[in-house]
Amino acid sequence: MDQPIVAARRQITRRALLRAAGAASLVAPLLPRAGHAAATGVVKVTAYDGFIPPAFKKQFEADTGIEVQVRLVDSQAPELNLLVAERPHPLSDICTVTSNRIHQFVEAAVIEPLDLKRLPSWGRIDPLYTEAAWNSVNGARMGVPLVVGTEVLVYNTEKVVPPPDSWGAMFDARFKHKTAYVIEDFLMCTMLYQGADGTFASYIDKPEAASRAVDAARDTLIHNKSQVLKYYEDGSELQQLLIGEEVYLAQAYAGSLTKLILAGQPIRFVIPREGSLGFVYNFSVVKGAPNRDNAYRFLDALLVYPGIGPELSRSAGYTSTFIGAEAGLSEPEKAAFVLTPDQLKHIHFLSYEGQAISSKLIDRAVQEVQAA
Amino acid sequence: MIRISLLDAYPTAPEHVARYSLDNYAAFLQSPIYRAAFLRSLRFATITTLLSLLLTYPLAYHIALKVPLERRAGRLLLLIAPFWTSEIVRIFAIILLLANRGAINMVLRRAGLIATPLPLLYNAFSVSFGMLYTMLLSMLLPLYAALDRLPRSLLDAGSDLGAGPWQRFLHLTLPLTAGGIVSGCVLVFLLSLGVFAEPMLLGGADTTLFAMTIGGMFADSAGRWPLGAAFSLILLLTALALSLALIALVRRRSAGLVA
Repeated sequence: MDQPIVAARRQITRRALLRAAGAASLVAPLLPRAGHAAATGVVKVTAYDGFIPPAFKKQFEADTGIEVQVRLVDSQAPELNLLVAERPHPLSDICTVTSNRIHQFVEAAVIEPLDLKRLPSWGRIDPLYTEAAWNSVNGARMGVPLVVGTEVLVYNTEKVVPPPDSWGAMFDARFKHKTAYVIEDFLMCTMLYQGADGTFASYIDKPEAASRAVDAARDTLIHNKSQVLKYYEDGSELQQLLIGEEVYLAQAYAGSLTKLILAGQPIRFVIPREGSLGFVYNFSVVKGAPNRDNAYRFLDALLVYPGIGPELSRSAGYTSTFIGAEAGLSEPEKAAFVLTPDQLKHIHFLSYEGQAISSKLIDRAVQEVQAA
Repeated sequence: MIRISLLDAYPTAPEHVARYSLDNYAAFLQSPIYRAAFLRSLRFATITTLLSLLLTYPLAYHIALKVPLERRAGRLLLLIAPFWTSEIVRIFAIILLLANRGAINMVLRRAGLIATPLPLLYNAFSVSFGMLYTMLLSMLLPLYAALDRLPRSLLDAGSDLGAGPWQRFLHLTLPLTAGGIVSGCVLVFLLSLGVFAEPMLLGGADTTLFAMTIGGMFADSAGRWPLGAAFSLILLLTALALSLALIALVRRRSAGLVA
């Protein structure tokens, strides 16, 4: 006689349990995480690996409750194509733009000028970069300069003797199938090697001359294809090629090599006598950013974070743009990360106007070198 | 895709007026560089298809016709299990195998058979190896299915009538499994023609395949999407045409056999 009552109690208990579980699963995401302020949104950053020091990210999230979501990219062209595809509803608030690509990003209407009133600590960055011509479009600044990168000629010190001092070493028959490069960048380095203007500054009103110079470099790369083992895309790829001694010489970005040098690998890099190309990595605000206010809070926090200069050098592997950043680095780190005045003399930066000509010519030539 | 392939620019900037033309298709015909990559892809796909057929047919034959029924599932599982792993992971395993300091070179050097590493990676060999490995299953399963359906009684009848093993294979087994061969070849050929990861990760400077060229136009270039779209359609139509031609040829031969 008690069985129906017991069964009813069991049903009620199960029903109550299910209701409680359902309610708990709905409420759980709203509960504040331990150790953080109540979440006040997100900021989405498209960045290269290491460009947001982990300690800074953790501190920012703890202080503001804003979650930093990072989308990693390792190259400018794919990032630009992503942002163009997402236009006018971008999935990022901040993106990483190099000084030689700012023109393309502006033309594609994917970044907006900075509101410097919202970045009161703007002066912590060296004016050499904040006031540079490539960072100015109609008087407005387009990016927060973070680190300075440069193309270098990297070599295995045990296999390449004597040490090279010219881009021409990449075409030396001794190193057949033992070189690697990023086509786009090495194309411009080859232009420097051939005496042309790899920055395109002198071709601003001479598109035919620019085209001839690019074609000459393209033809050189195609003619010397047997020198190349691999066209690589990512710094980590080159690291594996160098460690495994698959290649002995390469065009590279200095940042990808510093960790290998600090780890004691027989690898060094030089800036060739013909000169090299430099670029500054910047954080820019994406046009139509869904979390624009949080983006500015992020950038302002980055500018005031104590020790951000050396932290950026260590995590990204490049020279920081922050004034006095060198003081926070050890001597081995300075040797690996910091460009000397002599090295800086040989580095050329692409002008904003030069980019307008270079981007279309270089992209076409890259496809042709790759497909040949 | 068709519409984009006919445009002069895409995505179009707000002030740009789109223009339709066949310029992107003409660019393929006019540029020997892009045609070279296209022909290279056809070559790799054809070689991969033929090699995978030659390597996989004996394997499928053995499992379908020689291995006892109760053990076939286990043998198949052993062959299929590696393919549960991601393709990218398997490609990186191939890199570890073929690199200068990889497993093969290390064993050969320690055995004293070579003094310097063999150049096994970042060339046509490594790309072919990678493509062959990833396509094996696509060839194996159609072949196994065709061989499994083969009426044993026909083979027995052939044997009773005095046909030797090779005669039975050439006149009975091979024609009757033509459907499986065609299915496998078409599948492997189509997949090989559009392969991207293997040449990207295993290839060198002279192994750029057409799919990489197309990928570069979408990912690495600005404003060349219409060209990439046109090239994609050229690749698609070529692949379909060749596959249909192969199917029609085999059908005609099979009809002749039946007659």
